[in-house]
Amino acid sequence: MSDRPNILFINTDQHTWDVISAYGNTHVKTPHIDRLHNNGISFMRSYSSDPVCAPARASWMTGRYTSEAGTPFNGGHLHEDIPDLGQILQQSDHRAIHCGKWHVDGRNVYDSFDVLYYGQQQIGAGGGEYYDAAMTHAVVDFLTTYDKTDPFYLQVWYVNPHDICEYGHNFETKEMPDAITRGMLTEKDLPPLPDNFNYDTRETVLHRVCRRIDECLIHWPILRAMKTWDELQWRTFIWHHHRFVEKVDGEIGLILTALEQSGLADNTAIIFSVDHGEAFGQHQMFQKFSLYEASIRVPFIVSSLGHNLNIPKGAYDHQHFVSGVDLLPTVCDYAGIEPPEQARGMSVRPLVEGRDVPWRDFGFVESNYWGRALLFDRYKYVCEYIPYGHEKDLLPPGPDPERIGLEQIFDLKNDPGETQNLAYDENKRALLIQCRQALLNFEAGLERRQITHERPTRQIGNWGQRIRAHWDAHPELEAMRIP
Amino acid sequence: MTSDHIHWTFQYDGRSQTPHFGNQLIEILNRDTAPASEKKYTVLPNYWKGYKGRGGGDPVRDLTIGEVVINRKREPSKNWCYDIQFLNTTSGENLHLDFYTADDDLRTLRDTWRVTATNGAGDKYRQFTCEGHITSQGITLVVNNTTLPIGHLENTHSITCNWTLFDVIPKLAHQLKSSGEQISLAILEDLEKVRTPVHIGYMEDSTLPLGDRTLKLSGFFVYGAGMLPSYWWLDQQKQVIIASTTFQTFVLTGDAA
Repeated sequence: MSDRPNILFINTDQHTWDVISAYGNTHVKTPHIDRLHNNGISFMRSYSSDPVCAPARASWMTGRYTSEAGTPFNGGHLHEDIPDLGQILQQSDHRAIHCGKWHVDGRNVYDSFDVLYYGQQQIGAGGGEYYDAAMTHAVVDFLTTYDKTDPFYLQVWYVNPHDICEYGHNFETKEMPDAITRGMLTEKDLPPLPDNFNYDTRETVLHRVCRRIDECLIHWPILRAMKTWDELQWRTFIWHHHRFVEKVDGEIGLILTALEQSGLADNTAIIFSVDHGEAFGQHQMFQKFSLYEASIRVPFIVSSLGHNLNIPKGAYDHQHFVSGVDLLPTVCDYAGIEPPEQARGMSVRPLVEGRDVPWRDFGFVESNYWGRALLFDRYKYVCEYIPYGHEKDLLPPGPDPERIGLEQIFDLKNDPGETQNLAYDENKRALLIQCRQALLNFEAGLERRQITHERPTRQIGNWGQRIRAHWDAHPELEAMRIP
Repeated sequence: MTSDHIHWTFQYDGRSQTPHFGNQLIEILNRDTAPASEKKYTVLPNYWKGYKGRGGGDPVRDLTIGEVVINRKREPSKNWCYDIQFLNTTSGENLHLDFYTADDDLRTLRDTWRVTATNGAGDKYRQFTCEGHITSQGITLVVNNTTLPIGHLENTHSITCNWTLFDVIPKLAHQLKSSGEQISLAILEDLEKVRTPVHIGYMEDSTLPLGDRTLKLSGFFVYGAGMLPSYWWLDQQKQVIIASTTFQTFVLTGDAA
């Protein structure tokens, strides 16, 4: 077994965790991602650190949670003194190479990585339709000319299926004919409406203000349009998401073929993951931004197309909670270097190789600066911190029991669709208290740092005031807080 | 020009787009006629914000992000020889496809082809060159002397390149419209990625005012595994004048009947 394998990290964007045919989804065909699972191990309890592009990517690159990294939103700013993976890999023999979408706010990719391709108009949120093919060209050209003297770490950050966002935004101002009205499909061709389309409205105030109420903070125009959609329109939307996934799966296929035919398969560890999911109708949501499973749960596969590396084939891990903060330590492990001491994540390599190592008892996810989720074996706990509505909000919230707002508990075993909030069930009171305490204890160990850059401070100020105002305008919410 | 006159499949005046999309689409269609052997399509971004290429002209008056030039001629062997150039200033790629097809309705891909992509984005990736081959054993690409097998087709299936749809759809238009049935085929997307099955069908007729005249259009859709729906609009001379994908609208530059 080589101790200096190449490392290839492929990501897709806004790809819901179970939209992979190898996982049993019959409404999508992903033969190339399937190949990664069939030649590797899928961690089925893998979660984004923070379900939106820039925060999740900052966690990948630093091994830090977003309340530590300074990147709680798109438009945050990674603290300058936190090293990223490209910088860290300079201690190793691995050449650190980036291709595709970057979106780690506050960090210039060119300062840390050799950049194969980043777009003439630098890749922002969407445009997978033309960027992804160019990325594949760049990577295939690289792999077929690589001289194999030093190992490489290559991260290929595809845009699709994120184009589903723009597809949705397209219909903010015009009617969306469903695919049957267009004459394209019959009803049986469309995936079904999710079982959890209807939801328990006892959600956090944060989620309501961000994603539910009129003039909500995030993408209100498209949410307003979607409130008028009928079942067929939703199902057409879901159908489109799956086609975007298939589109990028084809790109991945070409890369894998090039890897194999270039003689690199035996000595390349492949990691596949996603920054966050896409709700596509679950809880009547679209995009990410929430703490529901469709938004935060992501694929995480470690694979090898060869046989020299100690990576199982077609395996599943349903036990260990994996987070986006684990990418950096995992890459460091394969590269033969230590991760920074402050990195919160852990290398999954021992788990891949079947070694028994201490592991976290729960998963931790942040969202929209004030939102928190803990994932336990069976239950999921969601809560929010109530903003001050002034400059004290510039220190990321937590751990502060006095500021915990509304809460949710879901039984993921009996209610995987998260349709019933059990937080108000007296029988779950002890569980809720335990979850709260686990959150507070965990956050006590985080190095939260004041947000100082102009753009995120402005957003925190604006959002904090809006959320605070909603609390003040709806006194009945105070009564919903659980003592 | 208002959005009311534009079919939803190529109406992108909303969000992040100035009202100029519709005006520019009309202006492009009204430009001077291109030479008969060549079809030129101006590429407009369906989402202007963030996707406009650097140096691509006035961001307010000109949304153009690229151009497609389609040249094809019939060889003495009766095969068609295609030469496609696709420049996209957002991605920075200039794609050149050189290939042959049979003279059948589906423009079945023949023998060998060549793909060259150059990257104007200034990063380490500069050029990609690939030769492709199709035989009874399957489809292969050769990149930097490395052979990449990319698929097999069943004997009953032929395969074509997506860029021949500019000819295939006009060929099939009458059949699709009169039968109401969809036709299925296999597509080798950009001569690199096998997409099958792909379906073509008739959608509806529409009209598009072009200043002092009105175009009568017939609309068709294309979709399939790994292929997002695209919408193809033919004029009364059965030429594709507008083709719209999720992110791009290809507008025939002049020569619309």
